[in-house]
Amino acid sequence: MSTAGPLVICYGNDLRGDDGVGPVAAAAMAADVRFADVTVLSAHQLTPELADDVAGASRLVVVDAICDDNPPGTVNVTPIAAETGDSSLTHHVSPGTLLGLVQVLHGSTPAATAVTVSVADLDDDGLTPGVAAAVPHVLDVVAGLVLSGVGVSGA
Amino acid sequence: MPRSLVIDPVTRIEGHSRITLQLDDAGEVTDAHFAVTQFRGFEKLCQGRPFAEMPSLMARICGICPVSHLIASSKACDGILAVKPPKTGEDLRRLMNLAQIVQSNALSLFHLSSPDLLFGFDADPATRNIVGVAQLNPQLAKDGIYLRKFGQHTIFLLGGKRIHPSWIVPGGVDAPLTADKRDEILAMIPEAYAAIERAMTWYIGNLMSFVEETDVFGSFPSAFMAMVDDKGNVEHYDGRLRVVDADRNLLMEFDGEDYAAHIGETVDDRSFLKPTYLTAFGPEEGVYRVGTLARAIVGNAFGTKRADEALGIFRERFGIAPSSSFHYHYTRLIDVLFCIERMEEHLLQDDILSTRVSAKAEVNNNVGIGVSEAPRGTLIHHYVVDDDGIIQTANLVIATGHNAAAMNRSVRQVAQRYVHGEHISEGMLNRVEAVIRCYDPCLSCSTHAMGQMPLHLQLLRPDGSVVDEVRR
Repeated sequence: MSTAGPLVICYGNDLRGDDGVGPVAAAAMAADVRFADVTVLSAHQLTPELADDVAGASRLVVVDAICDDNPPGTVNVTPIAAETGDSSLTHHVSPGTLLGLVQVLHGSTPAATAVTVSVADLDDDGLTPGVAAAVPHVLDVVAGLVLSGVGVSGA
Repeated sequence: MPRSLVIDPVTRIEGHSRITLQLDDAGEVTDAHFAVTQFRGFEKLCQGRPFAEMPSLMARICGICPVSHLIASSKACDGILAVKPPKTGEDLRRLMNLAQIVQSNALSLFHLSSPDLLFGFDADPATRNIVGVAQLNPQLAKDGIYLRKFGQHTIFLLGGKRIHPSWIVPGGVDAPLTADKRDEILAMIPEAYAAIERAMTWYIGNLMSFVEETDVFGSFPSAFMAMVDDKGNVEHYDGRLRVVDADRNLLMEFDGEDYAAHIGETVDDRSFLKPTYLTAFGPEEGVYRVGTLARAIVGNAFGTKRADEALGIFRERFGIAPSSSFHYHYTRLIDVLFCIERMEEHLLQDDILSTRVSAKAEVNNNVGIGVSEAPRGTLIHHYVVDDDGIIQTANLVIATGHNAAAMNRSVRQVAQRYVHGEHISEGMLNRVEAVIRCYDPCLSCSTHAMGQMPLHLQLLRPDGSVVDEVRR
């Protein structure tokens, strides 16, 4: 599959509590008219074969959970730079490595941004209240990125 | 006084593990131990669940080979129901299993092992990775990506999800294949052939670069086990389990349901992985290997034109039972080629679009055992249920467990060749890891992978203090 328009890859494990915020956001985007012309993929993790999809996109946004010191539900917006050295990969790749793969194989990359959500719990089923409440803001941020090309600052 | 060298964790395999090397006073390796350091506990958490939940629950064991667990689990449930799925239901299961083997083997060879094969084992790890492969050999990287996509997209078309599809169910599959999806898969097949044949040409052309590794990467006599059909050819879905010795003489052949009479499991206090052995020979002498190398050795043939031609070239060059685990890489390519051919055959069958794809029944047996060939080797699911179909016990015998004893021997052999003294070099470290990667162990299947740890290797004095340390 390839796309000429914006591509959003939401990834995570929906059996691991807040790590599922990516797939939850993807499901919400599927029902949101703002994303009607946007290709939204829901994935368990980033894998090398996504390189072709990324190469064909006009813009890339990845949505993921992040463990950091911010309050749960904080939405962070970070540009992704192509990386060329990731020697410790397992069956998945980092956003930077994925972009590096695209750069090498296709000669250029779309503008790429990571939208990450600070998490509270990775053990129980479902999202914690703070992370669940952040999902609408995630959609607003991603919509801003892919539709206008202008980033929206995180909450 | 003996000392230990610890490699913890091992990288570019699925899951977390640790390698411990035992050194003597002269700094030479006397023994090696490969341990899985994660706890999983799936067999325990299954207890008390309705058997019909098992396929979707078992698929969660692994994000790389969920279809293998779906297949083995559903076959075990078929046994509990005492049903045989309709032919089309079985063929569709086979189709998804083959697609998964393509994508998983492609991941192993192209993304995890090709950096070593392309750059050499002494190369800088900063370049010895998938991006480096794409820079040096873009076509190889593209072919790997294509084969992954081919397998994953086929799984998506059949099951509606690329990972953890719930389409394979007790009694068959959940929905028939439609003509448009069949045609979409068929349209991808010519490029899949081209990709795997280019990769095979590249691999064969580089074989001479790895003569030394071929000699010492797990090159020792052992038995081999794989599933075969009624002609003795390679079979991935349903057949008898055949075991041959190091010279390919038949040792035994049995139905998967009788596995417990022939395969024993041991508990290793240092690892969460349970090594298996052939009970007729005991834990020490009963070491055997499973997976692509075993399939290529055990089977009389693959039974398809292109794969049999490739197998003929392989056997002409290395004999009918080559002992080196380095050949897992070569046979992985042949396995992929075979799977593509079989997929094409199934898709071209007149009845592949039949809507009769599942059988329904109640609990009719209290025991169900399902066996299939996963990408990494033979997979066994064994359930015992009460009369209401509630799981009482579950036993999962995983390919990586079958190979555990052989992996230990392989690590010892490589370490004895390359590890000397108290300093750890990059090439030394990588070769010890790389021999494990030959088996493409899926530790998620015996534990559960979560997160990612950096490589950490320590060389310890007898008192436990560190004399050398490597992180990456």
